[in-house]
Amino acid sequence: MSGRFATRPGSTAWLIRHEMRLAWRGVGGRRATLLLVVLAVLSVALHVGAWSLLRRSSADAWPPIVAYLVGGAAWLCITLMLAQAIAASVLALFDRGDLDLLLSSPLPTRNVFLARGLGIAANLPLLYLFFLAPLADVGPFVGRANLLAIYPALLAIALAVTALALALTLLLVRWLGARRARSVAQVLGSLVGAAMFLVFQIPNVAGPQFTRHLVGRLVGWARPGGALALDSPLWWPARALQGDMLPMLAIAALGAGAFWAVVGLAHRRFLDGTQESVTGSARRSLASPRAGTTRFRAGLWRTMLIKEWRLIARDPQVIMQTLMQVLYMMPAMLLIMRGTSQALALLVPMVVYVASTLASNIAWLTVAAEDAPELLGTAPVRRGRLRALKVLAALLPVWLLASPLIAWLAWRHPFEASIFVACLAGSTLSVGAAQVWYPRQGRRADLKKRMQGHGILGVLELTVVLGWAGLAYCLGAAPAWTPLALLAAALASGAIWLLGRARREDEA
Amino acid sequence: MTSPDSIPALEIDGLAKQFGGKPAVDRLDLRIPQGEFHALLGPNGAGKTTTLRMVAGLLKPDAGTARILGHDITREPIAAKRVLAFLPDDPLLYGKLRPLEYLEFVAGLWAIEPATAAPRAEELLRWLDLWNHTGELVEGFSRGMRQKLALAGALIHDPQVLILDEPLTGLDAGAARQVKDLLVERVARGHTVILTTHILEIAERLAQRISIIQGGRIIAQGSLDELRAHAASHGGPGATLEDVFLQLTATTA
Repeated sequence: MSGRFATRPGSTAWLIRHEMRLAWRGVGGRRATLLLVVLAVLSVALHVGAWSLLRRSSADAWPPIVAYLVGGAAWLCITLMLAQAIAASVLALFDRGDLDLLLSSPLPTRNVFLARGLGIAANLPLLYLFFLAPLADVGPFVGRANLLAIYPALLAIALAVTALALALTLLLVRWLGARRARSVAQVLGSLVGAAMFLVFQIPNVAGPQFTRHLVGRLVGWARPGGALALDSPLWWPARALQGDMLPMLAIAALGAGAFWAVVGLAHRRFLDGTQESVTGSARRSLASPRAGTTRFRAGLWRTMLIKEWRLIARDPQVIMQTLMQVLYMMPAMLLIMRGTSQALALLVPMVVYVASTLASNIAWLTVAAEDAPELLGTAPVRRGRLRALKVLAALLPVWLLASPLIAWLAWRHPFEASIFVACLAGSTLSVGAAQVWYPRQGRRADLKKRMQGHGILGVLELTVVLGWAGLAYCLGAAPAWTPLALLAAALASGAIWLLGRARREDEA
Repeated sequence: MTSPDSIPALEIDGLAKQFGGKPAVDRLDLRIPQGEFHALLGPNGAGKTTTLRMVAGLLKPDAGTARILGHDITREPIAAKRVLAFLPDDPLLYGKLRPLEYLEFVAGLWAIEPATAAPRAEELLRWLDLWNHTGELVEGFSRGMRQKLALAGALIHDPQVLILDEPLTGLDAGAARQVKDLLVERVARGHTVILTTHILEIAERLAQRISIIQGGRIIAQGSLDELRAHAASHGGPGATLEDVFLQLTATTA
């Protein structure tokens, strides 16, 4: 290979280039050119916007409220970056298929680990750079050259965040073993992302009195010398992005130092963790006597439900998704439950919608993403019975999750409770039936992209769910529209049934 | 009246299957009596796996019938599957289940009472050297361990007809020996074992009768001696199964 940008094969730079190529391979797919054009147009628009904003704004220090907002936004970005970095660490350290090749090559493990880490760090700030780079690019032309610091500051923050994510992931491996750590890290990554959302929901959840108390405390801490004062190191990330020299140097030193330390100290744990994830851990081999005992249960329905629930409970994707949906719903639910009957009319369809999308995903996992279809195919049980049990296994946990709300509604608002139960049952049964009516085979890992190649089906499923959620709203607040919502749900269900007919005949 | 023992373990009549207009199995006939160890040999793409998948009820035949102990797999699938176990060449298992949980599930599918299934599961896992791994998830198992667990699953309901597609792939020498012993022992107890294999030595040593399949049809069938005699009549006395196989598949290609 020749060329100006050629790197020596086997060098760290060469490995980083390999990492970057893999990270970008497949982004945009066949529509890469279109995506690039859209991004370029957006970038130009953002530059024009930045020019306009900076020309009109003063170069003087920001008012405190703006400084706090920018500081808070910086921490929000850092939190989201951490969630992204944890997910990327799990993928880079344990899931990528080329580890065997790399680790069996004569390259030092440290270099492989370093390249993996730098690959993560290089990809982390890209989204934020897309939005902040216009400020840095335009800044020097409007007397704000300090904004050029956005580039090095973001890179330093990305290095520090990557170091923290790598360390967290490897610590989890040490405590839990590679496989469990992978699951926990995935959940942790999502929880970190959701944490900020929950922080912003405190006023909604806690009520006005607590909010006033909290604001009072925060104002106290924000006074000069307090923990949240503007000169506190807490706001250094935001100040580094604005080009303040001391915070900039401190963040750069922290980022580089943390990354260097993690690479130097932890690369051996990386090797151990990788070996463990490939070969199975010694710790697991010393299985506890309890783990080795399973009480056999009688009856097909019982063994089928328990098998499906075990697989669901051990699937970090489902746990993560369920947790996220419950977490994101909680503040809104608490707010609405304290509110008026109008708010209640919104709560019921909202929960119907969320519960139905969760049911649809779990039903896809139990029915379409069956791990051992050949085993079930050779079992002396009718396929329809097996599928019905699988749908039931998917719907029961969702109904169980909804039961506290049903109980509360039945106690406080019996009419809304009956609407909720009817629409929840109708919607979840419809999405469950859709899995039986339109059989398709998939892999559990593809949960997030399960609708790829099934665009019309996705629209129809969404119409079914929205139809039932709409029906729940109409029954409570706009009865005149009830037939329309019911018709939409019925038509979409019928279309799924018709679409799947050929597949079912082929299967029979 | 037909006595139960005279009903063939497997009876295939005119079985056919096409993929994209190309015949994978072409009006295949085969009859395997109860208590026989039968090997199905053939080059890659001969139609062995397609035949077995139709027999197991995993593929719908375009034409013909397959009966397991007298039960038509298309018309009476439940009765046929109750007496049958099929082990594919690369069995898919549940990565997030532990071995006993997997066997509990398989026993549930075949409606085996827990009082029967639990001790049988323990016996099988101990016998296949998997008992020390009962606390682990299957996703951490090697290919050989997975193959052994799938075999335990196939045997948990003590099937009268056991069909195995390349059962020794991925097994080490010790495990392969265990599986071979187990299959021989089942035949000695009057059960029927039907397997496909690329390892001719296994068919040569274990099988009572051998069918050679090519182009979706049986081109030769018989005991090893009968096949040798067939080969000798075509110019090769004292031939091994490999010689016979190569000669037959070359002349009919």
